[in-house]
Amino acid sequence: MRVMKLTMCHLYPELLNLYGDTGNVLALFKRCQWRNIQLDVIEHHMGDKADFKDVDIFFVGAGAASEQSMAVHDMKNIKANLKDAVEQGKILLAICGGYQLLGQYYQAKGGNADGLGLFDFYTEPADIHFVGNIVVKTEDYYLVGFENHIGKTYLNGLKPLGQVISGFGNNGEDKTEGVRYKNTIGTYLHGPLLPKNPKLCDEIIAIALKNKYNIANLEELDDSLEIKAREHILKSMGQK
Amino acid sequence: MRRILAVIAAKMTSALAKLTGHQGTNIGGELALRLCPDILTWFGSKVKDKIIFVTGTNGKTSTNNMIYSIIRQSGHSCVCNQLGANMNSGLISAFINSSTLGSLEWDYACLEVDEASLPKVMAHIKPHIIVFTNIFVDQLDRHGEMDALLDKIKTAIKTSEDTVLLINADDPALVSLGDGLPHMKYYYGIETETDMGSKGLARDSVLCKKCGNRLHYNYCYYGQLGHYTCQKCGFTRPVPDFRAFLEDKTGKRKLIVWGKDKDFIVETDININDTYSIYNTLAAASCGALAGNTPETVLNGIETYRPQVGRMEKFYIQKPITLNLAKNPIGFNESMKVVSRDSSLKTVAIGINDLPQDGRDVSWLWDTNFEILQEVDESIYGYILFGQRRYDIALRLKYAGVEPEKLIIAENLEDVVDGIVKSESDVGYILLNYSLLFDIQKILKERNEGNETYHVPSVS
Ligand SMILES: [Zn+2]
Repeated sequence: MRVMKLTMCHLYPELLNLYGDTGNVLALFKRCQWRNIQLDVIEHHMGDKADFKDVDIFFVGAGAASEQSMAVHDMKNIKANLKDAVEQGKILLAICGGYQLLGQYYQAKGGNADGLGLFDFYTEPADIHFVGNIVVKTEDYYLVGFENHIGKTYLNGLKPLGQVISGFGNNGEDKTEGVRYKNTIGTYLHGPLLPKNPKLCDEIIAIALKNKYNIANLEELDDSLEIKAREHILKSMGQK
Repeated sequence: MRRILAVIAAKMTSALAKLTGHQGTNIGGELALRLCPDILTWFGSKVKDKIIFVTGTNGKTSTNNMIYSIIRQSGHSCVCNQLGANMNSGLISAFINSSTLGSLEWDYACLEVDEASLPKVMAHIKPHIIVFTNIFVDQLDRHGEMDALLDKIKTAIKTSEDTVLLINADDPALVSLGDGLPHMKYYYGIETETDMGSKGLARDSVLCKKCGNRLHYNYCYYGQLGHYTCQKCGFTRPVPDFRAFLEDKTGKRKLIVWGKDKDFIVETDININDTYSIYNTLAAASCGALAGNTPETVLNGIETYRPQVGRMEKFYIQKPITLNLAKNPIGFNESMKVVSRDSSLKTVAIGINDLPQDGRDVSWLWDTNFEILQEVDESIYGYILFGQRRYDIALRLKYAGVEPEKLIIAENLEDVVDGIVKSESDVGYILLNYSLLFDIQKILKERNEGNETYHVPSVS
């Protein structure tokens, strides 16, 4: 049997590592492993040269403001490479602070920080802290998670990842959550995102397999615990 | 003699109440009060050095216990109502419980006093220092009850003109209370902007007690606490005598308290999720300094206070069961290391709640190394997961590589204890965060078959 192999690049894990982000990496790793797919996780650190030709999935996590701006500064060196990858339909998953910094700018209180400008969305400072459980409806399923941010992100015409059913989402105003462009997913959901949203996790794996091996179907896993965990959250939020 | 008899009678009643399964907190005090109505005044006169009251809406018990810990570090004897019984009878019980018939004298008394009971208590005892934590509007109805309470407190304090007031500068209600009193006043406050979980909530709602105008906030920490000013009449947050600075690092937070002339500096690490304890610790440190303690004594007092509850507490219910409080990745990793070093067949119960005092965001579970347990999987009979975030931990363990069959979800605390007791394991461990601690500790104490529970040195 041929062992399928995928590669994920964790961008700046030394800077962007708040809020249990490694849980997303772990979920991807385990759900590949349970299907006998090998997932190699490589790390891209500050000052590293771009070496992304084998990368199927890019991951960028959350971080505090100062770490965000250090990451953006260094990321400018790999912006063109990331842009190519995004346009080719490779997967880029960006969470919270990692999501904000991909836009034009993100304004924290008392300061203005340039984003990477990979996308046209932008983030303004919020007066209140958006914190709590959140439920989002995408075209195919509900996402559950936890948000914890003080930025209001405006998509500027881009497509959201989904509609907020309960919680704040991008800005607490327009009911949008996250961004979806080709196979780039930006979102405020952490908690972390993927263990509790196995369908999204599997969608990412499936896209990566399709890109690399042109294989469409993915072996089913026993997700009964994940399903119960989701039901528990939805119930506690009065969504069920 | 009548008083001594009252003490003896009360002590016996308390003991009897305990034997018959009643909580003995107040019952002895109520009896003593009936036998001898001026007993609280008499107890007060037996305190040689200082009597300290802690009052306010939130944080009284922790602050008071921390002050007690500081006084004990300074080598003085001290009465303290540690259980949080803070009416007259509760205070009398505290004196009775810490009295031996050979000695009815103390150096200090640290007493937590319910803010509404302050007038009654002060009719009997005049404290040297009153520490005010905060007065929260949201716990009172809005129709003037707050002002009535503040007036009552003011009247009570006026009966004791030598009392020194230690006031939270960040609380406009308390500061305006102090402004109306001629007493000697000291203030404590937080200087660093920090999010205490409800940022901005007060912004529109707090009115100036002097002129009724809406207060303007530069920083808002929690409820009405923050850096405020009235742009109409000039009422403003006083410059604190004891100033707290916070330094946040990943997973860690440092609290630095400065006295006025910077001759008093205390630095201590606190849990980053435990924002409630910032004010408690600051108030206790300020009070410790005001009572004349050195920074070393204050620091030792604060640090010996903290680990006392639920740290590796041992019980025996058909098998040894160890209870350990852990609130963050570092604490959990350390407790799991202790569990993994025990080679007996174990049931491990893990409980996580997400109430404000626990930290609402539990994503730190994924920064915690649950693989420590997975590595000794063959010595773990099963896991019991409980608390509001029971499914989060179950998922975390699944992704750490634990077989889902080993994961049992418990819907209530009795089931947790039953699950451990009835399982085929030789020992049980319960690791949990703060708001679950006291309820499960109560069940364990009730069912405990050993003598007293005992503590081994803290690991986290
Ligand atoms: Zn005013």
